[in-house]
Amino acid sequence: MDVKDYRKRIEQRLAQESSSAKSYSDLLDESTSPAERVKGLSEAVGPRAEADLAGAFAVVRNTSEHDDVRVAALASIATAAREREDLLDFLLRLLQDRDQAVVLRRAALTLLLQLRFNSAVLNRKRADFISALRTIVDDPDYQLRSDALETLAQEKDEYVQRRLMDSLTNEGPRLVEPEKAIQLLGYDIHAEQYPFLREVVRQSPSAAVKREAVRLLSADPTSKDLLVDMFRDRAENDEVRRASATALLSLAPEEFETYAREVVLDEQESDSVRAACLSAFGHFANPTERANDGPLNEYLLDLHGESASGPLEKAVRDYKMKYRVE
Amino acid sequence: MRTDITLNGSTSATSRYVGWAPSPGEVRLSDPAGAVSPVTVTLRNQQPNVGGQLVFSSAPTQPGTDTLDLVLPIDGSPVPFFTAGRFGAPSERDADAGIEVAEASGAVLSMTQLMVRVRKDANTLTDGERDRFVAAFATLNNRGLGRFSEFRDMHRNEMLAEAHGYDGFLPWHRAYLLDLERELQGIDASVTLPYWRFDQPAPYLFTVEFFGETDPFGTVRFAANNPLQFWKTDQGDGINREPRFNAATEPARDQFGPVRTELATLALGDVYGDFVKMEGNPHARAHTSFGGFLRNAHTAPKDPLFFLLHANVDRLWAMWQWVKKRFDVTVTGTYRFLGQAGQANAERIGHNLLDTMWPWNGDTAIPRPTTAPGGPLAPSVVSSAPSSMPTVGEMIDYQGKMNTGARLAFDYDDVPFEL
Repeated sequence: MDVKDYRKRIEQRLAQESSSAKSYSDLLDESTSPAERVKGLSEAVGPRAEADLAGAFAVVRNTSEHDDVRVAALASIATAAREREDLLDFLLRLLQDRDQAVVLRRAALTLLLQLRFNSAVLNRKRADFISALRTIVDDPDYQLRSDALETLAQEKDEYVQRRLMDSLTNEGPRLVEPEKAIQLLGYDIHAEQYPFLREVVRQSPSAAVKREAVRLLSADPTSKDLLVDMFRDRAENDEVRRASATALLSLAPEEFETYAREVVLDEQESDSVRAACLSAFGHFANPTERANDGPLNEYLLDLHGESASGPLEKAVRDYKMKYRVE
Repeated sequence: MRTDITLNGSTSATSRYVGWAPSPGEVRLSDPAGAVSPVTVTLRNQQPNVGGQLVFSSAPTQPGTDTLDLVLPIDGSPVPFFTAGRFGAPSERDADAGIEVAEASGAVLSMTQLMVRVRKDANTLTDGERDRFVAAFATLNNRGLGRFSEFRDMHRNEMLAEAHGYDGFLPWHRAYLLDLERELQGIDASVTLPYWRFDQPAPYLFTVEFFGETDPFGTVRFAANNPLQFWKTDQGDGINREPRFNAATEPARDQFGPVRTELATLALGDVYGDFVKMEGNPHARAHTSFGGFLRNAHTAPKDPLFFLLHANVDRLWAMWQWVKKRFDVTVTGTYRFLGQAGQANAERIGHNLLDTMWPWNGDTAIPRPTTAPGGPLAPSVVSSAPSSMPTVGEMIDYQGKMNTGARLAFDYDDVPFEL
């Protein structure tokens, strides 16, 4: 590739890009097409002049404007909002205001999450942000509610931990699906939640719910026996078995190796679970033990999956290459 | 008659990696049998058009050519040269490139295998490249027990100001990625950190064989032979990632629309102060195009995709640097805050050109965080830069254009080295 030609092509494209950009004030103007305004405003670096910032706010507040244009105008103030407490407070109020259009409120939350990356001012207002999120945990809009729950869970908010547990134990209203609620607990799992999660694993008819609960039990030594049972249960869903194997690999690696070996050697076993076991052996096992495991290695010489491109076949190939089984 | 080649200061195979920026080498007659006067040799590609391809020059300020003639003394004194990958022709596997040294008669005096190793678009990797990268990353994580936990710990709420919201955003993350990549290369030297080109669909990347597919509840699923299925952070198994766009057919987009394109990002401005606004869009917007770990700055690095996202952010900076010729810090527009913290008009500590960067500097005095995970930045056998406690400034001349000793030994497949 000729570097000078390459440079020329990029510079030409850049010149076209720059010349085609509309001015910010034109994007605020209602005479510009909505599609152009939406695209332009959402890509704009933002207003440089205070007058343009006021214009952007006027668009956001104007309920006769198309919602998409209002959202795009909101996006365009991100750079300005980064360092201005008044703009951040506006976003926090907008987020909580149920009289506002849901799309605008969702946009406010998205913008606040973006600003968490680069706004020192917002990060100093963390308590205000957390308070605002708590007010929308019961919001009628699913997306807002779910995003607020997740953000609070990620921030290890005790209030939302309590609300999630209440929703799972029917002591409080359902906030999100049980699979999601359990997943969110995982951001700050507490030991007192383990007995409940073990019951979920034992009783729930849903493989997805069980799998999410198993993910959380990988840090609980008292759940080891349950995880072994799940891992070895051929009647159990493969995803749940693999999640149990993953958890066991952390909790009790030597026991995992023993049972995983049995699984690999068992021709009646699921290809998917066997492949997962071999993958664990290939990447995390004691290499000397694996290389010296004569019976397993001999067995693998003739082991094939259902398809040459399937996970089991690949796992066998990788294992053989790693431990030079020939 | 035989010759030996030294690359990047060593005869060891571990030093035989080059990018687009010229790497120093030496060739000498190790066995001058039959020679009575200095021997003219030609350095050339061992297999033209197969594997990674090389160019050669006698000085880093000279353009590279497909062959280079050198005169070797019969006393075995080394003769310096430089080599680099030919732009557009990287390796796909370790040691698939080769330097052949031939004398005038055509007799081959030595062959030295090496790799033209550059960071690539994740969506274009071969299956072999993908699998080696995934294996190395999973090993670095090691079910939550590996060194990856330190990288996770470098990017929590209490540390965000070290790396975000100020001009050091780009240099800090460049150091972060370089540190991680060198750890990966300590596991498998053929691996580089690929980038997720978030302004384009990436169907190959979001598959169970690679970085996973998301189920309806936002849990990432992997193929049963993919070691990323054992990924663990903060004592929790697995990855929560919920694309708010169709990852197979769309570029990343959040509620506001698609992320800013590469071209629009390059067009942000000619000076660093304008370009660094990309921290908002496309960077933050790429993050909020997902639910799950990536959406929140505090949890984002729990998802290994974070590093591919940031590799693209860094690639955009590298591309901008090349297009705008911004490698020389004495040129206005290359970087804004040229002094160090505490001086008049300085930026926050850690974001001025001469400031060392946390955590690699081990600084836990206020206003720095109270811990500094990870220790000094990982060294490399192919480059002596940056220092173990790098400054912001050491991240700028990453190709060694102004000072060959500043070369950081990484490149992007689509960002050339240009004299």
